[in-house]
Amino acid sequence: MRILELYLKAYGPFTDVGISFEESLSGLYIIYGGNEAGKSSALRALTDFLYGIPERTRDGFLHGNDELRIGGRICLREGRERSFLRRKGRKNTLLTADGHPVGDDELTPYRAGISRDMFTTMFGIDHDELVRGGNDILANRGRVGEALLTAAIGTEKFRALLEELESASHELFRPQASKPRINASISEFKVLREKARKESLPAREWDQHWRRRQDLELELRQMDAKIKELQIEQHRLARIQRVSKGLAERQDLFAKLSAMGTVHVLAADFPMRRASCLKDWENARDEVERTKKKLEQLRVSFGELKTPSPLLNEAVTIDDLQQDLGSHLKALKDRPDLDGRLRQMKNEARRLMETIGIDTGLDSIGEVVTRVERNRALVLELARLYEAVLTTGKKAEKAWERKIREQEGMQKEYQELPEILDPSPLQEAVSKARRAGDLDSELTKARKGAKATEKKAQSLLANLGLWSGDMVNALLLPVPAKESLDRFEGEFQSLIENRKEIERDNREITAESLEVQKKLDSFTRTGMVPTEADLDESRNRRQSGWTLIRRVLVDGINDEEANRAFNPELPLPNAYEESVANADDVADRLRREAQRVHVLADLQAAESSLAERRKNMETELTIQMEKETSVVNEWQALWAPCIIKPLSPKEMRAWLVSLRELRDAIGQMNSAVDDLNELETKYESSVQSLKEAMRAFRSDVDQKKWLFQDLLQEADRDRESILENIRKHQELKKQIGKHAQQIQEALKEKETAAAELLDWQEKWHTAMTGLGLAPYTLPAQAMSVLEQYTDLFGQVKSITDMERRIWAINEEVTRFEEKVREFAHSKVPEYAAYPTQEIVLRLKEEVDNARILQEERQNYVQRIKEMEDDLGTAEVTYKLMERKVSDLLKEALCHDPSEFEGAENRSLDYLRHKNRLETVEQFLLENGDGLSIQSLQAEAASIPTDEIPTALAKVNENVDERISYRQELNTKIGEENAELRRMDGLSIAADAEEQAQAILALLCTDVEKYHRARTAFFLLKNAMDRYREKNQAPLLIRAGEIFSRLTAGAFPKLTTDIGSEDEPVLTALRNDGARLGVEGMSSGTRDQLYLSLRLATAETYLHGEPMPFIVDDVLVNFDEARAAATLRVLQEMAERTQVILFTHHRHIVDMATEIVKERPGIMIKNL
Amino acid sequence: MIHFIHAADVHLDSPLIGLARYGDVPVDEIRGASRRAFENLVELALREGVAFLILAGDLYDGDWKDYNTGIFIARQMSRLKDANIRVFITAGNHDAASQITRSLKLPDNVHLFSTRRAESVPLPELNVIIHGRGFTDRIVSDDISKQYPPAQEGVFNIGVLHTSLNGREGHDVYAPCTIDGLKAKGYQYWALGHVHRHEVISSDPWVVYPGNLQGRHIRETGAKGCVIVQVDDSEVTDIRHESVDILRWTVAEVDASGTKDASDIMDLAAKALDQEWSKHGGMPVIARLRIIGSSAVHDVFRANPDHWEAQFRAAAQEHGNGRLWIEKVLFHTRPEADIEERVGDEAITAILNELRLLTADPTQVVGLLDDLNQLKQRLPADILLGPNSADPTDPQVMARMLSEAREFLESRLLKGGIQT
Repeated sequence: MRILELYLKAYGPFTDVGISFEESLSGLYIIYGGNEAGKSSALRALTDFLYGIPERTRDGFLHGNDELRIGGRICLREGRERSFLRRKGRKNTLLTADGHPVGDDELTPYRAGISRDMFTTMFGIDHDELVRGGNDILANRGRVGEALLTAAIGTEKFRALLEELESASHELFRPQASKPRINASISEFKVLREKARKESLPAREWDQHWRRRQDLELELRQMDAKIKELQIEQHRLARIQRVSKGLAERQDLFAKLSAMGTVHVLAADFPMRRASCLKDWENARDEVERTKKKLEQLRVSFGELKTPSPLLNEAVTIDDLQQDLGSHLKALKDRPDLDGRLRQMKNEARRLMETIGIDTGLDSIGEVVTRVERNRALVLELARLYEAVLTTGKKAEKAWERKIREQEGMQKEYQELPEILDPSPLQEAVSKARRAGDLDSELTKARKGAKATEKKAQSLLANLGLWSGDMVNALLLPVPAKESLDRFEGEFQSLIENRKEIERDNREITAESLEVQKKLDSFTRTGMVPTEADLDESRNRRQSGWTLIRRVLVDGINDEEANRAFNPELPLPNAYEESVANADDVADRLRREAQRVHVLADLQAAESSLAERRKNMETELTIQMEKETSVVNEWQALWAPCIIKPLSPKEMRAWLVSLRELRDAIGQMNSAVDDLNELETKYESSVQSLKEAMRAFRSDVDQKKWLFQDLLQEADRDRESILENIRKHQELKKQIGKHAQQIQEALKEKETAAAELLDWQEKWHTAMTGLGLAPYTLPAQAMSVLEQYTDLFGQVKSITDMERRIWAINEEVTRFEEKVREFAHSKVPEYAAYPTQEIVLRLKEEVDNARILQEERQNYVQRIKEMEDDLGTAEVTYKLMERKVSDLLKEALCHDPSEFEGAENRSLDYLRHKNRLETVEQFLLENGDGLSIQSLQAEAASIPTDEIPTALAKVNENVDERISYRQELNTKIGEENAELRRMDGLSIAADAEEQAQAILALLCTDVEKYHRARTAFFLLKNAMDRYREKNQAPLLIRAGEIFSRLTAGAFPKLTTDIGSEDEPVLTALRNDGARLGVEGMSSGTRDQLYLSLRLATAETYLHGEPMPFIVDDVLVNFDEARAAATLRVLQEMAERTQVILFTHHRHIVDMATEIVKERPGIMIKNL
Repeated sequence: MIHFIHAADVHLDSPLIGLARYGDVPVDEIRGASRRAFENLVELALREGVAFLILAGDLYDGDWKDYNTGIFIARQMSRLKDANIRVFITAGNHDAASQITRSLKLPDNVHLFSTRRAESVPLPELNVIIHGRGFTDRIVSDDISKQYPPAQEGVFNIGVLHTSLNGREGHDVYAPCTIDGLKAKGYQYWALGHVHRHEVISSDPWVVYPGNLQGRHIRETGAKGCVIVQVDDSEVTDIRHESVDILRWTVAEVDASGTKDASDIMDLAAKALDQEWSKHGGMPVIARLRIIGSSAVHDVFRANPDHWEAQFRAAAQEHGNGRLWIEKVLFHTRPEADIEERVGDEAITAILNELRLLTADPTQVVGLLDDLNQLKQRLPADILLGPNSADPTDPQVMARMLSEAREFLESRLLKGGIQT
């Protein structure tokens, strides 16, 4: 398939861009485009055109997805050419050139069974892929198979799949690892199995533990009883030991108490109350004395204080004055500065007025302001419009001129168009010719048909037999009617059957005769039997004898002669006797051998009947033979007119069929010849009428021998061009008309613009006068003056503001000074003579001092009052405490506070003994295990105190021993219990087994997955190896040739070496015979190696209807010589299939231009 | 009127086979299924207040040696004892092999039939007599029903026997006997065990297999449990099967014929799973999904079976309310078009052709057997031995895998086989 034209109607960055590939059918096309020219879009467009625009395309950015259109004209090697348009969509994306949807299968013959994937991998190569391919070769360290496979099918897909399979299987299992799933599952399975085993409880073990626990429990019970007994003794001894001290102390306390006699027991808190009360009493007395002294001191100090100044009453007014003084001072300080600034402003304003050119003074500036402001808005508006009015005018002028030029161009084109011819005669001729159909092939077919039928008829005639003659006679031959044939066949048949019948009869008769004869013979051999005839004969003889005797006896006549005749040998009486005896004998035998007689009779009857039948049969035979002769004669007479000696009717029937076939064939032959003649006439007339119609348009009609179809196509093309001419005429005419109208419109626009400009100028002049400027001042100048005015007016306003401010300050200063002097006169005339500022400061100081004095006096008054209150309180407290002390004396039965201590000590001693006694008894009761103190005393008396420790130690030892043994028992029982609990019907082992089974299930699945993955891996790997082995040799040779070319002879040959892993590796031979492995090659050389492999592989596909080979900028890393060599190789390849090279390198284009000089056949296209 | 329960083939503490624990399988809910089914059986007996319980063999599972299983049984038997329910047990082929059988001490409401001779236990208060015999040997090839005594007149005769009759599909031949032989004894009811599928062999007299208590693998599908038999005046008046299992196994088949898209099949599978799920009243269900028919999706499935299996699992989760699990998905689909129609590229065609040649002669696949042997060395014996052997180097297994791997590769290498 070749691409004749690629039309990028709306695709990627393109709109209505066409690339034609028609200049040469065997040249290399180079499409040059800069970086942003859309080279890769064009490349994609090519693929999309052939295989459809993908659902997600990146080429719908300029034109909407619905609007994407790629057109193309393509042709097959044999010349069949079609135009299609491809749109984006889900279905009906392939359209004819005029936009009718057609099935995608219309493209099938052009795609020659190459899928999209394959087209892009096999017939397209770009720089990225070249580098990747080159690197792949390096990565595989030049392994031949890999390299070839990479070139042949792109290993990407396969290697990715292999890697995927490898990694999938590695995730599942690796022999030496533990983490992959299968490894992990195996370990887990073993662990669980082990757990199930460990947790399984053998029945015997359970039994043992059960019995052991029973025994231990019994022993434990016994031990408990013994321990209990010992513990009772232990407790008793311990108790005696515990209480013996208490009992002794108790006795002692009883003695002490009785010695104290009667004691007045004071309340427990008495000593504390007494001490605090005495102390409080003393403190109260001290407080009264101290307060009195302080009060006296305060009163003296107060009497010594001074009286404050009377100005204190004017404090508010003075504060106000002092505050105002601050701003007054600031105003005085600012005023000179402001005056200076005012002077400056006025100078600036005067300067501005000078610049503008106003000579009135600053005072009369107000009039100028009014005048300027009145005109400002108008000037601004007009200045804004100025550019627009000017531009509109110029544009309208230009538009008008352009239209006039275009009109002239069109008219010229119109005049140059060919003359309009009437297409109708040609149109009619063409449509008539079309209706006539495909006459060329019909004619060929008819000729073939006629020839075939003739051949058939000839062969049938030759094979007919029995008769000889030509075809015409064969048709006329007066063969008998079918009915006659039927009749004869019937007659012959019945004759044959009849004769068969007769012959069968004959055979039967003969057989039966033989049989009868045989039986008769056997009768004869066993002796004859008498017959009825014999009897009759013997009786007749007897009768004849009797007649002779009777004649002798009765008539007395002895006829000697008759007698001799009767019996020549015997005398009559004897002869008669013999005849009587004979007759009797026959009769006897007849009777005796009746059976045999009967049989013989039957045989004889049969014999005579057979003789009869034979006679009849012979008669029939004679008749039969006569009939046969007559029928044969008749049969031959029937065929006589045909001069044929007939065979049997059956054979003649077959002959007739052959004859009929012959006659049919002759009929067919005749009709085919007729058809042919008719068609030839039609053909000739169609050709003539087409030629007739065409002669009006061209002179070469009769110079050439046309096939009808070619003629028709030619006529159609003529018709098309006439129609096209008419259409062009019409279209141009229409355009010219439309253009004339447009010129009018342009003219009108031009005039309107001129009027607008005039109007503007008038208004401008007025405005300028208003501003006091020359009428022709340019808008830019006017604008600048306006700006200066604005500055001036701003300055004027600032001056006014400043003057106003200075006046306000002066006013305020005067007012303040008057106020201060007035106050001084009325209140402190002695200050009146001071300056304002000093007056205020002095007043302020005096008032502040008066304020401080006043505050101090008030303070003293307050403190004296408080001190008087304190003194009252202290005196009351002292009286209260005095009464409390007297209460305490009563309570302790004392007369003086000095007696308190003795009373308290006595009471305390008594209480202490009493309490101790209670404690001791409490201890005894608590430690006596519920026994009364009396019982305890009795118990303690039972054993000497000294012996208790020894006895107790002994018992303790005993108990400890047993308790520790019981502990052991308990531990053992615990162990047994633990064992038994473990064995207590739990399902730990079963659960573990179930988990193990679950792991096993997972393991089975994983093993299967691993198995599948490994099998797939090895299968694919092996298949790839085998494929490679098979395809390696021829490809390698061809790739070597190309490589040699691409490297400009630097490497004349590619070969293989054995690599480190015993694998064949790709090696290039240098000119000097040195060998270079892939890893030793530069990246550019590797690219060339890969390209060689790719080209060699692609060449294996260049049979039948090869697809165009698309190369995208692969020459990036090639030096000049190799790039040129590559172009030449591609050029050669282009002779076998279309080759299109996209590039954005100018030097490649230049290089191609150089090559073309030596050898034409490279077409360069700009994108 | 009395009623009793006839159960068999408890196979206590035998594990669920072939159910891998995926993320979504609630291990706790299905753990110890055989024990829980047995507990359900005891509950049922207590709830129904049956006169007695017959266990017609295979209480234990063959090689299982954990005495805990026995202790568990003894406990359950004690519960029945508390409710005055007697239990009649005959040892089956699995029990014969079990060490537990020999040493277990069962409470006195349990009668274990002699293994030396046929024995008859009369229950005069119920007007019933039960005949039975257990076995000491794992393999019994005699017709031992012949040794059973003839029926006793005027009482309801029950024969307890662990047998495969004259052969049952999927079960080893064990204590073979004939229906006529059983009928000849004149019993009213033959309580059989050994066949794991519930089956009423005859109704005059009644010859019944109750099936096992709990399905344990994909070949034991559907409801499992026991039979409750109603007897009135020495005549069976009602027999009903009661399920006691706690999870079900089932097989759902989806015909993918004519489907164009994997999502179509997902929909069909969802429907089929939904149907299966709703059959079992909310019980946990373990389903095997089998997809058949010729479909354009064949390549898609073949190219990435793991991915699709996960998809079907997720769908099952959704449709089974979290209680329906896929045990395995079998992709038994066929392609719609021939390979030749699916290929375009000559090189790929050539590779596919090599694949076909290699598949036909596995010895040509260099490296595969060594690789598999490495795996085999590490695998536990459980995988390599037994009826479900998955020995990767087994020629049959290898042949199957080769054809599957080839299909996988075809699907992956062909156009459109890579969508996921």
